[in-house]
Amino acid sequence: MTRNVKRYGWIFSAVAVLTFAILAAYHSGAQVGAAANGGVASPDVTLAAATRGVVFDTAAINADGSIAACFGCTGAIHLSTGTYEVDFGTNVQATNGWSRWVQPDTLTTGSEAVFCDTADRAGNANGIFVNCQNAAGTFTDGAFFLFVAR
Amino acid sequence: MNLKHIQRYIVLGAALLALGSIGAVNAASGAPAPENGVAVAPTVKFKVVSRGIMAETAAINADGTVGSCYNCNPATTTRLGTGTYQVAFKGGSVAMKKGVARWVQPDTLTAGNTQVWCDTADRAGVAAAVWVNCQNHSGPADTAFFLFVTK
Repeated sequence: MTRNVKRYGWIFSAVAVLTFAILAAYHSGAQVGAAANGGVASPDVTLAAATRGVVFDTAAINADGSIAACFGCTGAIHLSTGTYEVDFGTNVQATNGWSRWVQPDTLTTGSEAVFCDTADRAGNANGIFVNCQNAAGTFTDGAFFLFVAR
Repeated sequence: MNLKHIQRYIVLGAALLALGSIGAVNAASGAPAPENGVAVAPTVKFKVVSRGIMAETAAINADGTVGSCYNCNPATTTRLGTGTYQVAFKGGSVAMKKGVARWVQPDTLTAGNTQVWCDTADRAGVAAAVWVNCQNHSGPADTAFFLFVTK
């Protein structure tokens, strides 16, 4: 028995290492979209200013992250499947009284079955993070309108 | 058994019959229990329409606390249950029949991300509040969000 444990012990070790690697890879894959913007958790915040809802900037962004048209934007980046950064020429963080509205829209005919959410862009005060997903919760590319109000 | 007793039995019987009917209807339709007054939104028609002028705004945290707001009532703004919120305002009724429109935008209010979608409704029994319910692919889910009220 002891000899068998010695002989085949390396198999148990290998299986354990392999299992750990698979779980780690799966976990990192599931977090790709979230990790791209500073983590999943959204702490409760007290914002320094309240938005009055007056639209200052707008953008129409294609599914590949290119700009179809915009007013006040300075650039857009397709970060990964379903995630985008749209940049403006000023600080558009929520705590400064800015609010964001995103509306999935094909910008032409056709249809797209996605819903999108917004956030401050981690590491870029002038950017807005947009993530879009389908009904199953899978990150999915989609064109959209973005309104930035204060 | 006098007339008074008979009347009591008739009233009690009618009440039990009504309750039984409601239960039978819900069971037959498979409708969920009404969380905000009615299980299914009825078809409605209003005399007043929103012109889209921003009147009140709120940034609400996932736990229902107010991140910031313009003309909201933090004292009566609350998280009702997982993914459901009551956001109250001070400017009078925000019911649809008053020509109000509501817009909700899931937003972390900071960095990070959220993967939910939200809907709005009149808040049953509270004319000065908006009902917001949020869900993800697996069911009701808490999230922070912006809420805009236009008139």
